[in-house]
Amino acid sequence: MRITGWHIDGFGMFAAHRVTDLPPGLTLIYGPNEAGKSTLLHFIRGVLFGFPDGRSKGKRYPALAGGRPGGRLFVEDDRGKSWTVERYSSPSELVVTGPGGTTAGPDDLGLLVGHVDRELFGNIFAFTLSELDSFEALEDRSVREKIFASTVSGAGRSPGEAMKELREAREKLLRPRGASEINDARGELKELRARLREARRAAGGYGEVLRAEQQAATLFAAADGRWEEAHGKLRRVRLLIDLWEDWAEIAGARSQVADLDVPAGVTEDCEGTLNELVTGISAATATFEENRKELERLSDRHGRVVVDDRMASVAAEVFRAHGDLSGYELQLEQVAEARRAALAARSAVDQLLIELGPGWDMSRVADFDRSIPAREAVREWAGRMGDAARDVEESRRELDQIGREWSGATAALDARERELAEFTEEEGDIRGSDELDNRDRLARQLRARLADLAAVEAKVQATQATWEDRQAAEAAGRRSAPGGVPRMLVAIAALLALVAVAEVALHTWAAAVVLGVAAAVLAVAAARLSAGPPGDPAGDSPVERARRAYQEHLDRRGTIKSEIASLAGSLGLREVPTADDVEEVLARGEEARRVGRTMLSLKKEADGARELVSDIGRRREEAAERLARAAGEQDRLAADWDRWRAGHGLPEGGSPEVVEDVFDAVGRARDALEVLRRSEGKQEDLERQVGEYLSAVERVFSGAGVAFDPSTDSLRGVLTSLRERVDADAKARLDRERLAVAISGAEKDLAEASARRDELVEALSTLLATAGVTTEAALRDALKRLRRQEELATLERNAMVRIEKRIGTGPEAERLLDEVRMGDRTGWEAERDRLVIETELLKAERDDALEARNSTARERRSVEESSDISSLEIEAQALHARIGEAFARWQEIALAEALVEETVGRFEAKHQPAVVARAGELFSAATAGAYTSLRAGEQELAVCNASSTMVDVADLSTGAAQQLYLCVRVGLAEEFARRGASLPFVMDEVLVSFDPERAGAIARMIAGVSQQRQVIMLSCHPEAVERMREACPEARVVTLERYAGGAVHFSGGAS
Amino acid sequence: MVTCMSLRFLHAADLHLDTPFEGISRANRELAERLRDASLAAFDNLVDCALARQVCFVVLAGDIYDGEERGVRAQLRFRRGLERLSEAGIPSFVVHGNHDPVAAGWSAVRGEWPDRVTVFGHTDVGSVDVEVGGEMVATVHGISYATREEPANLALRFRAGAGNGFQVGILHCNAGSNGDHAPYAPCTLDDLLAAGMDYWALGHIHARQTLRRGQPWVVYPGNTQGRSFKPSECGAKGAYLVEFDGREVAGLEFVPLDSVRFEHVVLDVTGIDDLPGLEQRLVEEAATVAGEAGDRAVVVEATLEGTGVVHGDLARAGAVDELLHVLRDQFEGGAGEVWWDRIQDRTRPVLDIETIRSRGDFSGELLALAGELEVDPVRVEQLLASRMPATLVPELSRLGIPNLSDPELVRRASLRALECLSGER
Repeated sequence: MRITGWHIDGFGMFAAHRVTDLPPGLTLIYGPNEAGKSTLLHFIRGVLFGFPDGRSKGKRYPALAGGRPGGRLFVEDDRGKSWTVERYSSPSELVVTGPGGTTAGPDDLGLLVGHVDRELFGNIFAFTLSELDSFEALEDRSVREKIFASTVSGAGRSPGEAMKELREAREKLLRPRGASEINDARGELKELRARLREARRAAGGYGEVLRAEQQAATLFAAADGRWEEAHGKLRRVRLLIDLWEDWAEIAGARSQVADLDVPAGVTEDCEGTLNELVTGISAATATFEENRKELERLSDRHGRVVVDDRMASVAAEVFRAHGDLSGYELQLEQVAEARRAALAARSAVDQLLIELGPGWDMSRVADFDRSIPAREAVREWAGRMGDAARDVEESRRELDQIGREWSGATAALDARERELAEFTEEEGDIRGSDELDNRDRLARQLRARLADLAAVEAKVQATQATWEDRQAAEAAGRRSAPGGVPRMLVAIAALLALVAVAEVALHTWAAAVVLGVAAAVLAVAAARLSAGPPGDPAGDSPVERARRAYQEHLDRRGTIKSEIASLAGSLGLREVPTADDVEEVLARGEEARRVGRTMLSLKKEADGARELVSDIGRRREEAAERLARAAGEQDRLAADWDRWRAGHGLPEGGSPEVVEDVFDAVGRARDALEVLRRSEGKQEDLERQVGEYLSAVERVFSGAGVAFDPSTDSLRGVLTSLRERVDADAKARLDRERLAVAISGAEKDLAEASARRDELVEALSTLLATAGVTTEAALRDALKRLRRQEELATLERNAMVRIEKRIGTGPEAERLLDEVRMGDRTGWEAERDRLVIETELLKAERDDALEARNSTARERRSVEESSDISSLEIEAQALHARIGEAFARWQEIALAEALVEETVGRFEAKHQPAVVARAGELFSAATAGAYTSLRAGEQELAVCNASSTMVDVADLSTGAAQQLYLCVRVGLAEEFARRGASLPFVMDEVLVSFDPERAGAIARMIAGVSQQRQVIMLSCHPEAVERMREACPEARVVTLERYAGGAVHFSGGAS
Repeated sequence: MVTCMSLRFLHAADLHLDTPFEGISRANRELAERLRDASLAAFDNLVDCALARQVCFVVLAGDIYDGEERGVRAQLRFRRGLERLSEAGIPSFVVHGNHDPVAAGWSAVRGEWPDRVTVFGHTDVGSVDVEVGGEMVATVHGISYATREEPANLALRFRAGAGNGFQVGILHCNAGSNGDHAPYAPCTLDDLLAAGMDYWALGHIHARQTLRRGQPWVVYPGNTQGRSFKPSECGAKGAYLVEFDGREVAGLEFVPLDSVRFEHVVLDVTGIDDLPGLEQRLVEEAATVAGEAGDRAVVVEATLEGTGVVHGDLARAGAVDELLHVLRDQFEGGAGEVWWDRIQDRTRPVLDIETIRSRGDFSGELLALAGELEVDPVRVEQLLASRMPATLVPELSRLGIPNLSDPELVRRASLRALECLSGER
């Protein structure tokens, strides 16, 4: 690979910095300090292998002069194909473009640089002076691996990468400490084994478990027996105590019953009867008192009620008159309204009679015939007379319109006739169109003949010249002087003829004729000069043929000229007319045609106008006749109408429309008469009804003794007051009747209450006598004793039921009862307390024994059913298998790793001597034989001087050591190129520490190297550049300028 | 009570009840449960078979239990099986082998053995007559191991009875010095022939085989349940049903009894284009072995061999595990299902080894070194030992995991190294 150029978008002080077309050999980048040489070196490293980021130690070069941080390197692979590597640092981006613009990727870049990494490239191929001074860089293991064991191809890995990957895979499987697949499985297996040991231990104790279970069962049975016995005793003594309680209750009840004395007549029923009688007597006494008080109250109210008999006699009339009062008041209002309506109706009738005119009164209005047929006849008259009037009007409008059309048509006719008259005066000699056509045809023939004449004239001249040439040639031939002149004359004649033809075509007839004649003369001369001997017996000599041709064209010209003369004569032209003459004839013909067409058009228009005027005159006469007929019809209808109107008694002079108005007015007058009649009738009816009502009211007032003066009293006030008095009287009468009925009822209730009270008192006396007591209190005391007797009996029965429930019945129960009857409760209670304690102790003992039995049984079942051992062993075997598999993989990977590592060692040992020898050779040349060879140990280098003494590198001067390391780098690069890739050297200031002699030698060495691979050398020293140019005159020099705060520019002059 | 309709008996051995399974790398829950109970289920199948086929008696030729540390679950299951046979009137004859010697104290677990059960002692060969319908039809002879390592040739102690009944000898032994098995109770075929038996019901060898057909028959029935992917443990496992007439064997029928079957599948990947294609082929192989196994669960170990493009896919980290995961996804623990236990990738990259070897570059140098190591196992061990934690060596030894240094390992390692260098892996 070699670098052909770069484009820096932004990197350090560079911005938009571009260099291209770098040669495959040596390039010298010269620039003062701060011109960016080291920056350029780091740019190249960065584009190829990535720019340092925040996590790496490498120096970062921000884009000080702007631009996107990064740029492109233009490179060429070993086959001469161009690539572009484009890389930016922020945001990080790598674009690799292959030959032909194909898209490539990081793998292709790796292949391009021989899978060299940043470190190796920096150590061997692209280094600064300070890096040159470092032997450690060359001793780096990865450098040695890559240099000596670079076998990669395609997307392969270096041995170092392969070992790293294998080591990681191996450590995933197994590592001395920490998590790994095998270690994890071992841990799990250890835990499983512990659980397995425990499970096996449990299984081994099965017999012991069985025996323990049997022993526990025996112990439980014994404890259970003891507890059952004590518990039985406790249950019996508790029963005796419980029975004793009930028995004591029965005995007490029986003793109390014996002490109670109840009379024989006192039974349970007595109490109810007694209570009912006492309650009844109390209630009857209360009822009696209430009835008595009510009777007194009613009698008092009855005595205070007063009535008026006159009101009772007029009550019905008062109610009726009062009920009609509102109607009477309404009628009074209606009477006034009826009077107003009648007055208005009469006024309307009078107004309509005035509208109809004199002679019209109510009777005429009533008798007038305004039937539908009469009104229809009037409308028919109106229609017919309207039609006649419209006919007259329409005929008049038509006549006016025709009159306006006639005026327009006569004006147009006059205008056409005037125009035609003007044309006729100007073009009075216009000939017919046939004659015009004939002249036009002749003119066109003449134009064609003139063209033919020009053509034949040229041919005449040409053939004449040919004839003359041949004559001259023949004569010259006879004089042994062939006719060069005649041929020339012919040529000139032909040329003149052609010019003449052109002149004809351009209508410059005069020039054409002159030229034609000249051509003819020349042709004749040529013919004469070239003609053969005149007496050629065959008569077919060239001269003769030329003469004949000439003659033929002469004849033809004569014929055409005669035709032209004939045609010119027919057209009235001179004998030999010009083309302009002919064209003029044609133009005049065309103009005559145009005028003829215009006149013809005007004539047609005048004829049309004349015909139109005639037609309109005829129509005007017809319209006048129609108007006269319509007016006559209108007059006849008016006479008939007058007669019809007179026959129907209508006023004179009126049109049918007026008659229709009369009809309408008569109709309205009739309606007004009807309204007047109805208003007067209604007024009379209302006045009669008002009078009748007033008479009736006066009669009522008189019967009731009420004074009424219509002039001062309000009829409504007096009548309403009377009505209220009648209502009050009627109410008083109703109250008095109701009170009388209530008094009668109260008297009856009082008697009944007295009888009921007496009856109950008698029944009570009878009850006391039957019970054998004298007072109510004595009876109630005896009843209390009776109830106590019954309670004690119930108590005894319940106690017996409880006893039987506990012990049942039968002999055993009887024995128990006997024991209870004679027993000692206190002793039983003491026994019970003792037994409670005893059974609790025995119960705890039994429960413990039961738990022990169940526990051993569970343990035995657990052992019997346990599948732990099998499950755990399966898990353990699975882990065992996993470990085995993982270990097999580990062995494979570990051995693979060892193989690579061992091979690296072998490879290095095998190829290092060649590198050392080559470096020694270069070093010897560089030092002009001061050192002859180089030897490499495990960790150090040594050189052999001219005296065959080994000198350790540490003992060399700085400059000599740098020269040596440079030689070693060249040797390593050559070794790498043999298996990897040929990469360019980029050296920064490597000559500055060398003396001129050594510097010259190293410069020559570098020049030699640049013959094999690209070398880009950076320097700020002009002498170093000059030295390199001396060693390698074809080197290209690229000059950088000192950074001054803007973008860096360069002058790319090559030497 | 089963009536013995014809004269036949069931010969089984090496029950290894509650036996652990070897080499199962990872089992799901359903499979783990089936494996745990597999040996017991196989014994249940044996009892069911005896009852169904109405055999006259059953002989069990040693290694009933797998070891002294087994749980009592196996003993109780065994006792219950013998009870079922006894209740059906079928006698059982049992000897102990190296896995369950008499000295280990095996007993009837709870009290006496059921009726019709004969457990032969270890001091002398015992003999028991078998009667059918009141007529003696066979005499069964047997002897148990006293201890695990029985060095004596027990076959020499057997002698046929004087009667006309079919003579059956039960012995747990290594007949013919089978090198793959422990040389317990070693004997030769001649030793067995000399005893005058009609049928030698042997135990100890797990691969079933008939050492001699014809008078006398010498038969190993194999174990009743496979336990690993060893060749002798794979395939159908069960017992022999032996029909006899007088003193002649009338027929020998193998009856599979296993509950879970182990199968090893070898597949050449040549011509397989990708992982889906490989998965398809493996599924087809599984269908074949599952079809042969009937309704049993089948545990399969596959070894992939050959060269092919699919090698690159398999070499990708985790690819084999992913393939296993996909194949296992189908397993639910039901009848006739296949559990893919592991896939061993023995495929090789498509590398022209000879060309690489002749190039003389780094890879060629590596192959040359590998060639040296193939014949230098000591150097291989040294290289591996330098990378292995020292404490792990004895532990691996205890686990029985071999520390390989064989040429095959070197070849695999060199291929892996070349793949790694070429970026293929």
